[in-house]
Amino acid sequence: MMRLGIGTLLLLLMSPTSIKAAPAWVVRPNICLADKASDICTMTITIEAKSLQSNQKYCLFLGETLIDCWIGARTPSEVNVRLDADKTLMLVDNANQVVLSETLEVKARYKQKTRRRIRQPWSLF
Amino acid sequence: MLFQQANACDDEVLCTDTNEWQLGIALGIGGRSNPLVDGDTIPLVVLPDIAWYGEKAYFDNGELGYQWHDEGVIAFETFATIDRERAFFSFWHPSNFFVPRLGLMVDTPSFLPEDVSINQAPVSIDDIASRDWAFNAGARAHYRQDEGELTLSWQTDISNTHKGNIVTLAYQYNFRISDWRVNIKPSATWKSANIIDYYYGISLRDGLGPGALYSGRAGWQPAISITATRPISEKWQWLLHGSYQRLHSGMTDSPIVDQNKVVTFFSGVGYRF
Repeated sequence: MMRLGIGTLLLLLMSPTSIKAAPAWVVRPNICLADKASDICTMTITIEAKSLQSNQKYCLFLGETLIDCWIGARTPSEVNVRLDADKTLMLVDNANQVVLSETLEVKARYKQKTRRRIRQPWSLF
Repeated sequence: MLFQQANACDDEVLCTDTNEWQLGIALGIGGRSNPLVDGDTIPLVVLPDIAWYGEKAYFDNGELGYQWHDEGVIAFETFATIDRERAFFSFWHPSNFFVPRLGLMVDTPSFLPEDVSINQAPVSIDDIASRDWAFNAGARAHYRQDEGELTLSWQTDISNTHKGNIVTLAYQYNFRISDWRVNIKPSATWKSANIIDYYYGISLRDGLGPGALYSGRAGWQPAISITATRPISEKWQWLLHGSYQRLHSGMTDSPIVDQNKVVTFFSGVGYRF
C-alpha cells in the first residue's frame, strides 16, 4: 500500500516535465467572408499556440507561401492573410515536418449567380 | 457535364457571372471571304467579345435579348440584333474611302466566274446603289442534351429596311481534345426572298438599266463552323475558328455575287479581362 502510494506520487511529480504535451494551436478566425466567391478575401488572424519547443525553429506557411520563421515557442500573434480560395495554414519545424495545420476557408457573403451564355464566346465571326 | 440547370451553370467557357460585364479581346490573323463582285475579304485582326447577362436580360456581342425561360434542357428567348448581311457591302470596301464612281458604269468582265450559273454579266458593288443596315427582332428556342444543343431561331426585319425573315436551325456539340476545347456547329439558315432581293437583287434603284435587273429568291444556306480554344494562362487563350457557308442559287445567281460560299478563318490569342 505504501509502495503504490509512493509510486503514484512519483509519477505525478514527474509528468509535467518528462511527458511532453503535443503542440496545439487555436487560429481565429478560420473563415474569411468575401462579398463574392471570386473576390480576394483579406483578414487578420490570431494564433495562440501551446506546447511548442523553446529551442526549435518554426516556419509558418499559408499554402506554399512562407509567412514568417522564428525560434522558440512564441508564435506571431497576428497575421494578415490574403485568400483567393481555401488554403491551409501550416506550422513547419526545422525538419520540414508539418507540426500543425489549419484550413482557412473563403466563403461568399452573396452567392454569385451564373448563367449559360446564349451565344458562343467570340461569336462575332 | 457541360449543361446543367441555369442556376448551377459552372462551365468556365459557356457560363458567365450575372450582372457583370464579360470583356475579351482577341488578336490574330484571319478573314472572311466576300462573295460579292469586287467585294474585299473582311479582315479579322481584332475581335472583341462583349457580353452582359442579368437575371433574364442579356447583351451578347451585338444581340440584346430577354430569356423568358431557362430550366437547363429547354430555353427560350426573344432578341433584337443587327442584320449582318450588310457587312459584305461596306467593310473595308474602297468605296468607303474614295469617291464612288457614278452609276451606269458596269465593269466589263474578263471572265465569267465559275460559281455563277447565269447569263448576266457580273456587276461590281461599286456600281450599285448602297444598301442600308437592318435591325431584326426574333425568337430562339434551345434544346440541350449533354454536350449537344439544338437551336431554332426566327428573326424578322423591324427596321422596315428589307422586310425579310431569317430562320436558322443549328446544332452544336462541345468536346475536348487534350487541352483544347472544341465547338462544332452545323447549321442551315433560310433567308426569305425579301432579304435576298433587297441586298442582292438589281432593281431600277441601281440605275443599271433593264438588262441588269435581277430578283433575289429565298433559299437555304447550310454552314458548318468549328471553334477551338486552349487556355494559355488564367487570362490568355489560344483561339482558332473556321467556318464554311454555302450560298443558295437565289443569291448566287445575282450579277453582284461571284462566289457561292463564304469562308471564315481566324487564328490568334484571346485575352479575358
